[in-house]
Amino acid sequence: MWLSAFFVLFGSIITFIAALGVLRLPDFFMRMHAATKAGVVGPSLLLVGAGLYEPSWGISIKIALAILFLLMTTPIAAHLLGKAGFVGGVSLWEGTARNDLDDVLPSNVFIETDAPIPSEKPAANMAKPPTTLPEQ
Amino acid sequence: MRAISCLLDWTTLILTFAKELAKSVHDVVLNVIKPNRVSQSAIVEIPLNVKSDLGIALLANMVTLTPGTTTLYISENKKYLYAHVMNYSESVVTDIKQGFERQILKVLR
Repeated sequence: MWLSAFFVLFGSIITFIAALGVLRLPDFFMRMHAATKAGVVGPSLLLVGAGLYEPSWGISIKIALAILFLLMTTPIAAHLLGKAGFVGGVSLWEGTARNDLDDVLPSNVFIETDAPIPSEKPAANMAKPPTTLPEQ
Repeated sequence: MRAISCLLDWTTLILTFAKELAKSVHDVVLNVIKPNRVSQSAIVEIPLNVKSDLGIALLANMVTLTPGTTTLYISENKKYLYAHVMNYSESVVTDIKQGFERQILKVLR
């Protein structure tokens, strides 16, 4: 009982610090660090605490699987978000010492431009097929 | 005999991973409480020796969950891994190569 309370409390503190880190750290990638690492461990500890409240084999297996999936999926989400952020042109903070990715991956691809967005043509193309298809 | 050594390698990998995960959470917590602690970050290029997709995926996930590093990108030809490092120092690349990559190579052999 006390062990379960300890795990739940500890897990929620770590989750809280992760959330605080997302607010406080200086740039996008640093915030990513807080969200992934503490974001995996916090919920895992909460799950372990919940399992210790009423221990049984079924619950342990479920919790082990849940933690395994957390460990597998969170880094993938972070990887994709980080890449999207870089491609989208998120600015790095002034403490960045080295940037090897700069000449490998084009940055600022999604940046807004003053050029008019060519939205008319694709829309017309999209609209045409339904009108012609029924006649065939 | 082969199976035992394979099991031993996996156990070592998982234990190292658990240790590093705990260390990385400690690191992140300290950084959040004292943001001035981070002096410089960087995006570094890590040449890969692991060839298989499974190995690269395993390494990328582990890099993300270990202290101060997050995988950002893997080059098209699967030869380089780009990671964001929170507390940058010259030894980061060799640390990853000597630590996790060697163990993953051992496990997947």
